[in-house]
Amino acid sequence: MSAVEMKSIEEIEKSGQWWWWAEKKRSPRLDYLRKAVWKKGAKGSGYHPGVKVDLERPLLYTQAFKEAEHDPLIIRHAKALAHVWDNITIFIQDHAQIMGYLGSRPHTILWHPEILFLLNEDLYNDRTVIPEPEEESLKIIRELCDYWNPQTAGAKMFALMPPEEMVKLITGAIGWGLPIHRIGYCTKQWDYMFRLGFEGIIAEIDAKIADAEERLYKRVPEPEEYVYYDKLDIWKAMKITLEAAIRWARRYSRLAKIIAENFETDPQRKKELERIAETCWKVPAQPPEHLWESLQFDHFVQILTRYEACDGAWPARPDYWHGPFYDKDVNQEKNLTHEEALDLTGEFLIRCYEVGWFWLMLARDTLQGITGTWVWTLGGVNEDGTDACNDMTDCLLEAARLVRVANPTFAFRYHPQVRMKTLRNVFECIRQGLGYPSMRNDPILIANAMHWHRHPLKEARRWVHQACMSPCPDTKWGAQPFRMANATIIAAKAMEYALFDGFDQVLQMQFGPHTGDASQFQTFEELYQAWYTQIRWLMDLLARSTGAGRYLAGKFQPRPFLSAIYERCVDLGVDSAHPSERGNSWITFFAWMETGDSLAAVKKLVFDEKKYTMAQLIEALKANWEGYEEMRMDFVRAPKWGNDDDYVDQIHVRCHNDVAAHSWEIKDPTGNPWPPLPENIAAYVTNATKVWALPNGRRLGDTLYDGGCSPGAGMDKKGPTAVLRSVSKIDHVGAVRATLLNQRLSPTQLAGEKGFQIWHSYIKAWAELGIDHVQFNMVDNDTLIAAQKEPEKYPELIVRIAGYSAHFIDLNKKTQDTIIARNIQELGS
Amino acid sequence: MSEDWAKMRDQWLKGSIDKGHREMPEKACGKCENFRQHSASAAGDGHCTVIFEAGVNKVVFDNTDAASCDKYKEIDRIRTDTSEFMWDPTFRPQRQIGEK
Ligand code: SF4
Repeated sequence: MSAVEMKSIEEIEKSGQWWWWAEKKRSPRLDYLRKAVWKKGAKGSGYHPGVKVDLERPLLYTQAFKEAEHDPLIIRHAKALAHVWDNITIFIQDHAQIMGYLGSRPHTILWHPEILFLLNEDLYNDRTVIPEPEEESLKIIRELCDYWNPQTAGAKMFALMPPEEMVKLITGAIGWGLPIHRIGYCTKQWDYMFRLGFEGIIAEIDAKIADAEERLYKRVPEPEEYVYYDKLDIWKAMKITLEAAIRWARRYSRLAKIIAENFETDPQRKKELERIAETCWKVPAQPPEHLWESLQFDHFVQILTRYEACDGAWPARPDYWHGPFYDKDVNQEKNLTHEEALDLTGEFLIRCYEVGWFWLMLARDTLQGITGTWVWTLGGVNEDGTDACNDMTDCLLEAARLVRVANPTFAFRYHPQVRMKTLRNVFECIRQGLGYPSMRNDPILIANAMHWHRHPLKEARRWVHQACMSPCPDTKWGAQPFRMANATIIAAKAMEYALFDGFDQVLQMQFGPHTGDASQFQTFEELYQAWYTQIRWLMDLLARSTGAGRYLAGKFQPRPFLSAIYERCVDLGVDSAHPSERGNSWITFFAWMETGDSLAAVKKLVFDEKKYTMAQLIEALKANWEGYEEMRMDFVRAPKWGNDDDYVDQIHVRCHNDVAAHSWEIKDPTGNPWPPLPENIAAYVTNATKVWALPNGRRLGDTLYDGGCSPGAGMDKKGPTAVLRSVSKIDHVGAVRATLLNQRLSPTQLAGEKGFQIWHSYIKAWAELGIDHVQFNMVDNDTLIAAQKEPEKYPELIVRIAGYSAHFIDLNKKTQDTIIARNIQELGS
Repeated sequence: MSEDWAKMRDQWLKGSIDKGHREMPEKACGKCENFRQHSASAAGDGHCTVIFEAGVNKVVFDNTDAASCDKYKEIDRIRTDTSEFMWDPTFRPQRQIGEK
């Protein structure tokens, strides 16, 4: 008898080992699919054993790209993509109902050799993912590297950047990511695709082509009409990819039909295969009419865009778009039972979880355990302001508890009218230790989207998470087709540079501007201004390179398929990179909250109490606090964020307001500002070795603060209300694009109905204080420590990192330790 | 100065593109305390913190042969599988590698 069979549901609930509960509760189909999935996220920073890179896609893409050498660039990429979809091996997994895989076999991860030469060489040097026979594969990879390296988007971009900036960026010391649009976060416009289907979009494109040909070939064009030559190429390329996408989906249809007619002996499965064949014939060519069609359409599109390039995030609002189909099929027409819908939804999550690609070490490390920050948006309001929660919201939340995948995770748009049934469902996910949904304050974020990017109210209400945090409307003019991840700064470096005259202590190079010898500073204001100069320099550098990447993307490596699924791009005849949407830029601030705590400690101990001089501080910092332990403890004990102490909190508020003011002074290619967005993913661990010792008492190598506005681990000594009060002092509309608050709660305190009531009161207080985000870990330390010792017994134990969740056993030990070190808050204290 | 940065960039670009599936020499920059890996890549690109060329840090790679370098100082490394980032000395604290 297995451990699961021995334990009753009640016993499992009591022990908090919810993964056993899930295994017992889910259907045999979901259980099979969940267990059959290959993990594609890295463990620590290496791929799991058995995961191999897929060579079919790069070989097919390259072959067609070479053959089309006399075509315009965008047509070449379109033909290359079409060739992949027409020829790559496809398969249907046993029991599966949703088709579409990124690669030719279930254990493979995709490699896009056209993106970045560094990635290519990284792969060539990798010792784990090269498929057998290794020697032969390495030969193929070498040839592909040699062909693509000089013409990768990365090589083209770097050649244009000022050398000094490029070297500084590539060290990874000041930012994260690279200014390349083939590594983007694409918010998709579902109303367009679901309304027309691909055939409808093709009809629109045909009309555009006919109109362009009329202007160019039937009369003498007006001077401003010559641009239609460019547009013609773009529309033709869009059409090539849309037609190929339909053919690819129909290959699944044919395969399902062949299996059903020739091989399947189980009549039930045969019927399923026949339905799969019908579905894949219909979508994405035509608009969906049933839940199984809308989910299939959605998944096909997500896979198709990832065949074209890496979509690092997965913006989605599945309850909003699939909810009407659920309602029709389950509630009204009774085409499906709730259990059948649950099976489909659970598989929909698993199909997302299994997606993976070969990724730079930098990204594998910082996104330990997952492929990308795939945060799906649930709840919120409709365009008219009414509650948007529906039965699909509940179905997704229920399915998540059954399949317990680490990707996608959910974020819930909370607002005062949210229906109680759904809120309880949200709480149940958190209580069962999923670490998600994270809670987002809907009215605040709607106001925020209107403030920074001028989205009209109705459109702002359509926001989804463009990545893990930033809200972006999924409308024609609001949807941002990609957001390059490199506008991310390691903000604590500005503090380091202010203390060392712009010199990078870790890399031993001059990085920032000269702002003076800090050991000679006589006032706090001198230090503050030095810091402000450094942080502006950092923001400018990242905004400049990202802006250039955005502007040049369409010229370097256009994305015909991505462009074809945006109404704006089809209308205007432009590549998705064209900055004609309303805009949604932001600069992610990693390692942000150390700044205010460091400044406050210096103000108190050096300038107010005069216990130490600046010269002494610089000496101690230079030594990485070694030999200065007593002094370091004074700096550790100085006032810290998260305790409702105005002495330090107001310094943080000033820093926030000043960077927000600067973000209006710099514009992106759409003409919008670059608001700050403090958060950390797992970079608070990986950056620990990139940020030198700081005056908050931190040493080189100590982990950084884990959130965007979270207190330092163990620094919040006055309970959860004091944390909320501190955090509420930040203006969550005007000072940040969003910010991230991590909290750990006690599973015992939150058990049962009483637990829900306590949590609900907390959420109401949090919302009324105007804080935009909070996310919870609700797993006790005993469980975490036990999982460190016997990982095989805790396969689906999930924890929230910062902006994403991961299976605990997929994190490296240091990251695991940081989760254990976070204070557990007793609510109501 | 900008020419020096350009030189550094060019050396690094060339080195990154040329670098292949080669063996790690017995004494290599990647095993030296003075090496800093550029974390935007895992192809072993980096620089030396103590040797400068024309005003900027010398570009080296994890598998640059350090047999003739008199500043070579071997780091303490742990035996590990590829789930741990083993070459960059700045990663030692993260990987629980004790300092010397
Ligand atoms: S000191 Fe010598 S061996 Fe060490 S990193 Fe520098 S060049 Fe390489």
